[in-house]
Amino acid sequence: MESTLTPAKLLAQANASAGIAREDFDGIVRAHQRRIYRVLLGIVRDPDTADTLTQECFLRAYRSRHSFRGESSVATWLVRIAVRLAIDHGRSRRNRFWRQLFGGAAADESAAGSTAAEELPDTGASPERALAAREEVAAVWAAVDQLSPQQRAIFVLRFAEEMPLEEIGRAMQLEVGTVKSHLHRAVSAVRKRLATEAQKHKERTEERKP
Amino acid sequence: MSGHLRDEQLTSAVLDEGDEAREHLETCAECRDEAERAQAALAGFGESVRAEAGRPDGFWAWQRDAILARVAQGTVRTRRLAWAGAMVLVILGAVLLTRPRQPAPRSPATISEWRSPTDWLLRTPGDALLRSTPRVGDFYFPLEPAETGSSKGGNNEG
Repeated sequence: MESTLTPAKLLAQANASAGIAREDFDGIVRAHQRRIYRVLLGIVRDPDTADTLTQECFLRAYRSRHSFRGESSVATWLVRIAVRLAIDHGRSRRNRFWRQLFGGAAADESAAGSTAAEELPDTGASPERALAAREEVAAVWAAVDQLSPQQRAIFVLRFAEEMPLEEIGRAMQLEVGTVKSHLHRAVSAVRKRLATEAQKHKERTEERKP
Repeated sequence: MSGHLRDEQLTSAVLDEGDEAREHLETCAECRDEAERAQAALAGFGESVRAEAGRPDGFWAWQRDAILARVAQGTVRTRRLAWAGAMVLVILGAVLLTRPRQPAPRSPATISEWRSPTDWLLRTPGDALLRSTPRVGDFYFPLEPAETGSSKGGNNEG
């Protein structure tokens, strides 16, 4: 007779034989995997890497589940692990330096930014306005790519996850003042980029006029 | 407030902070437009992240299975490693315990008498030996029985 062992069954067996508390880790994964993936995708900007890091995040969470004291929510705790992973990943990504050195970064940025901007839902705005909105979002992505990994993480948590500053502080293990300071710098950089893009857009429009 | 908002004030306005900036936005259309445009772009960024992260249900089920499989695999591997470590310790202990050993001295008296097999190299010669005077016929100069001439002479014959 063949018995089909699903990962959940295997985990239950492993937990039972190891004598540890039977927590519903499957439920935790189910409840938080989307958010963790989204946070990681916002920071690393690569779906495959975001998937790998999401898996790694839950694996680390499982290994260090005994150190979770309940001082913050499970979501905040998981976000903290995810952000740390993403920052470490960014630091170890040596080829980034070479890409920038050989001038491929600008092309990559605009391509990735455009791809992300194309994912915007249709709001029913005029084609011109929709195009302008896409360009602006692409400009934001390009600016975000130039931020430090920590600033990028804070930016994503604030504007993609809409997390309050206090929660960002807990997730990043930073004071609220430090979070605000990083956010100011990030938004300032984004505004500068938007201004540059607006200027370019204006020049293009004037060139088209007879 | 005269003129327009400074850069950091406008950033505060975008982040919806600072009463002074907020008051200024109510009266200045140019700053308000810029702040609103930046806010719209930031909101668009958030939407694009959420939209890009949207995956079909099958993806989430697959990812969940992959995570749980890795967790289970890790647990089993950790337990196997622990078992292997314990076995190595047991074998090492057994080898150490069953190894033939030289009997160790038990009392202070036997300790002072006990010498390792190579200890004699380190010992100073005994006083008696140092004070002794070599004499003919003693241990140092043993007298051999004199050889007889017949035995020597036999060799010279010829």
